[in-house]
Amino acid sequence: MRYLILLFCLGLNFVVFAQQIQVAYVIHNFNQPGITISAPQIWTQKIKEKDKKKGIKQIGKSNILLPQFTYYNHVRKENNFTLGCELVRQRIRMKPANWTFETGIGLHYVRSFNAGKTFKVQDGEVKRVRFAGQNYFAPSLSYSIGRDFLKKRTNPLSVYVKPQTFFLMPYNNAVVPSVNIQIGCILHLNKKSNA
Amino acid sequence: MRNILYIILAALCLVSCGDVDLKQGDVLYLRSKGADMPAYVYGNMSSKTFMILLHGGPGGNGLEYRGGRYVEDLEKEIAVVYWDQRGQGNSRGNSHKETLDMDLLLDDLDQLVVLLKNQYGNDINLFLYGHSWGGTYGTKYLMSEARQAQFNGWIESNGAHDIPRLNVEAIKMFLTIGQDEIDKGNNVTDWQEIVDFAKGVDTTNITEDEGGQINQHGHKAGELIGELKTAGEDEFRMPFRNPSDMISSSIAGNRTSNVLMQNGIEDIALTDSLYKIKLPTLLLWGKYDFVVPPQLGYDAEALIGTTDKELVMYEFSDHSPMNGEGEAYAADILKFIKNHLK
Repeated sequence: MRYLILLFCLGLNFVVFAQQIQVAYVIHNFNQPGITISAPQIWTQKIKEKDKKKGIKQIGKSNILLPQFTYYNHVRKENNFTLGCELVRQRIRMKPANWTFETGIGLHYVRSFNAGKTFKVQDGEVKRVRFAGQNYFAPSLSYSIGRDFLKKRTNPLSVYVKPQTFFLMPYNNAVVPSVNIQIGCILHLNKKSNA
Repeated sequence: MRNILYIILAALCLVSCGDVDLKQGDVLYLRSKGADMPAYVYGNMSSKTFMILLHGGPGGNGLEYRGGRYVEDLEKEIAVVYWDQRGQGNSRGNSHKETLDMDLLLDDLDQLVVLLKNQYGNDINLFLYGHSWGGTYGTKYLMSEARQAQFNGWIESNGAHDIPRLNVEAIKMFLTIGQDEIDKGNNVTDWQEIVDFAKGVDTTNITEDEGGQINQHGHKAGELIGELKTAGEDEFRMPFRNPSDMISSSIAGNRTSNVLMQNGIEDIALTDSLYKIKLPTLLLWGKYDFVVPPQLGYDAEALIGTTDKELVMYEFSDHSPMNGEGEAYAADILKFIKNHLK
């Protein structure tokens, strides 16, 4: 339990000092809904400018730490909570288009709770097991495409789409892939976070 | 921007659409020896009559049987318990490879029976139904008199209660029916391939690999028979939000299936022990079942140790008569159940 509290505090710390907050609607394995909240921390960032016929083109490259919390409900199967962190390589075409491309690799702790009452039978007696579920570790791979539609950013909001593959282990003694597709928005808390 | 928002809203609407009866029925998880196994109970629970469905495979899942006309008819009258066996379907947990064997599965079913009686009352009528691999599982379970005493009746549908024998009988069917179909000029290339395969199998020494190929050819042969009834498009519904998880179910189910095979299920042969079953029994078979040939049904009809037994052969079906002849299939099950209530 104390480890969970520690993880929670760590997550809260990331959110408090975050430059952005990403909130996304998640579709798990193409048919189960959920939500993801993540708070990217820019680790390193480089911006290059190139003179083109149409004007100056800015390209940014960043390495980002992306703590991430995900919840999804698989109807009548499980409620699933995931806490983890991704290392993301981000490439931004800042001017004029404001497109963002990210590839990420991460590691997550997954806790699922059975979506139904769980019982065990001991010596012929039936006993209820509360908060029953499973624990997994899950490496992940992801790719994301995003866009900031407001060039002058009077309203600091961007949108992105991010397919993310998890490899749950050990799942029935096997490694089982699952796919989350995030459709989300980015709230820019610090205007310097995305020029 | 507006278009993107429309796309997002459309996606949200799509994933919000679910099966209309998602909130009906009960979900009970049985925790036993490292596994959490869900039992989905749907149907008329006030009837106090429950049918535990042992799914096929191994590697299948209970809810894949919950589709079509036969289920609607059954669930109007009785409650059906769609149970995901250990390591299959939506079951989760980590059974040790060494201990994942038939004895462990039998113990799981013992516990499920206790759980159902605890939840719905000791006075419930309980029937056991097994399809394909579920027939192996159920027959093995009922080898014990104490276990038989828990049930009102046993329904075996296309059940693989003797795997070595079913392989031999399947080869015979490939050769006889296959040659007939070739002579009639039906799907000649495909049938020739199956017949050639069958001719190459030494039926006195069928390997595990050949057993797998017989199974594959059996499914294919069933599809090649033109006169079979197939499920109408309206018989299946696949809601967008579905409890079944096809990806994890198929990967974990495959693994469990492989472990069970390594631990000896391919050698299960219960024909000579069928006399031990004294429970009223209904046997349901498709005439063109090349996967578990009808001969196993005839064997069971002759050898099961009770006079209260009946074999129904569906003339236009293969391995899954519930799909093509669902109405008759459900009617036969309900008639049997009504005749054997407490």
